[in-house]
Amino acid sequence: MYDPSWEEALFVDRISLDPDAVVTPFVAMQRVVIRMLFDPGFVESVYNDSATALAGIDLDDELITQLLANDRRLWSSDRMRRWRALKILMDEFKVASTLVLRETRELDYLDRFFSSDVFHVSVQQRGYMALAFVRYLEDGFDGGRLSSPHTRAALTLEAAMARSRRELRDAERGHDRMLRRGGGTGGDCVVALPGVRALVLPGGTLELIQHIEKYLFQASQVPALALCEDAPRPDPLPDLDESAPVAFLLEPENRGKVELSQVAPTFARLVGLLDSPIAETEISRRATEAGVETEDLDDLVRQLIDGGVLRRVRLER
Amino acid sequence: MPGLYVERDSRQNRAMAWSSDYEKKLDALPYLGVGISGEYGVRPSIDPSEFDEQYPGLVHVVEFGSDTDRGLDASILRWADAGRPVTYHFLDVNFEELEDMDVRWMDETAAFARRVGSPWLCGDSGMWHFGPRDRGHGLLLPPILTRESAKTTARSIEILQDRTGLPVFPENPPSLYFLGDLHILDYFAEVSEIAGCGLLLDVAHLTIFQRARGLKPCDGLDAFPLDRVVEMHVAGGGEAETPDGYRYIDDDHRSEVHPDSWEIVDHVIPRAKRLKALMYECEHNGPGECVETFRRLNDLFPPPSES
Repeated sequence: MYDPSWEEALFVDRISLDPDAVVTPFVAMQRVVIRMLFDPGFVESVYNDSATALAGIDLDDELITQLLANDRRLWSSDRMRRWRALKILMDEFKVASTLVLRETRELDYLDRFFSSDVFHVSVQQRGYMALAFVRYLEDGFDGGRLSSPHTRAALTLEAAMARSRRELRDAERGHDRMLRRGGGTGGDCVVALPGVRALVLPGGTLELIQHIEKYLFQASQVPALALCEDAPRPDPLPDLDESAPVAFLLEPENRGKVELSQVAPTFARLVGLLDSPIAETEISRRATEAGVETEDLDDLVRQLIDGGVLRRVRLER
Repeated sequence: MPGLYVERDSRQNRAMAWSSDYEKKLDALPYLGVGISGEYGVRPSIDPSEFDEQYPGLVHVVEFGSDTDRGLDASILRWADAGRPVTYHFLDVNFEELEDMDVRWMDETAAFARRVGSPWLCGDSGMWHFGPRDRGHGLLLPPILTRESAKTTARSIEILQDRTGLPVFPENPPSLYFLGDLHILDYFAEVSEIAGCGLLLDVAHLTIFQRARGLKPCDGLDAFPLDRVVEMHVAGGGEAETPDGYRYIDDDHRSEVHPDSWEIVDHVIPRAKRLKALMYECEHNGPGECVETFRRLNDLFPPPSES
């Protein structure tokens, strides 16, 4: 039975992934408040010069006046908010964040995420905090603060897993991001299942992950070791071999788990190519352009469809 | 508003509104009596079945708070599977953001409620998370107290009632601050009127609001539709201070109920003609510390006749 209110819920749900979607001023104000709860520096900016701090956000002037009438100390009454959130991020990016701390020797580097532009933009645009955290760490490489190939390899893997599990969850809620990447492609297409990704990592990355997980387990036995100058460190790290890359397939499952399996490079390149829909008639040409070398491409595509890695979809142009 | 919100606003004109049919639905809901709250375990809690064995006749219903990530736990299933009444309290929806009303969330929430036999859905009406639902996104902000916000909240509730077939009772949430010109009671009265929904009045949260606005405990209640209050929450709270000297009432659910809250309880109960359940949110205290308050609440709001 058609029910327009359900359709409306689906309709607004579909638009919510658009970071530039118009939001009502009261929702925009809620997001400003959230940023204030996380970032005392932003609180100071809002109180000292609200016009500059809130520029570009569609807010009701009267609500801004009411906001500023509050005692500014109330915004930081929950002193553990940032650390609670950081703990959750460090649970998900366990190895990358450990290697960042090894490299920077500074917890504040991770804590400053909550004062960063990527965090603020993510909240204001209703994004995922975890994916903003990935961008923050990636920016660390771009800005030269991070440079370790070990950190980069771990971040590449954990970021791909974070994206994978959220793509599946979003698809289950009506937002299939992989279909959105079609860019006008129409008709009968093939595309990877939601969240299925392929990636190539330097040889030794899995050994690195296992090494850090073992270190973290040992460190967790004595939480107060942060106070000790002779606290164990994860060095030396296992070697990475950029000349012997290894390809992996990521398959998300329910409850946030992501299965990781080693695959042939050809397989990974094909799945990587099909992370956005490609017309069935175009796959062969696009695969050749992408350097996917296989004797029977059609057979491989069929096998991957049967194996639940790829799917056929019909898209409207 | 430009673009998508024009369409959304035009659809809001279809709102169901409070009606005599809905009054009849509320009248038909079961009378549950005094209950205890429970939440998917994050710290030691009173087990309702054990409490009932130790102090029989004081707890007649359990309100279980959870989200679609965590679901139901063993203690609530034990209580429910013994045929005892349960109500389901959601902890993961932003009624001010229509995009939060995704079908999967609504279906999963309704499934949890039905599994434990909850006759309705309820929960604080505010912002339970920022961004999409995800780990680390949880918080609780009050709604912005404006008519525009009330309209959107009402629309979300209407959608949820339509989809689940269950009555939905929004609750006034706690906060250290409130933005918007409406009194929180007027806000929820408006939501009820537009959406056609009953209400959950949290007495401790109202106490905090009245303090924050410099008002007396019962200010605003005369104009509030108390006949639409189907459930009430009572909880302890007390003075707290941050290291930099900011003083506030902490909604920490300690066992001692604030005197202002008792004043509200005494005012509301005789006037709330459709009140079906009165929850004492005390599950993180020692059982013995809560007994006297349970007795007092049972005196004010007698048990269902079959218990």
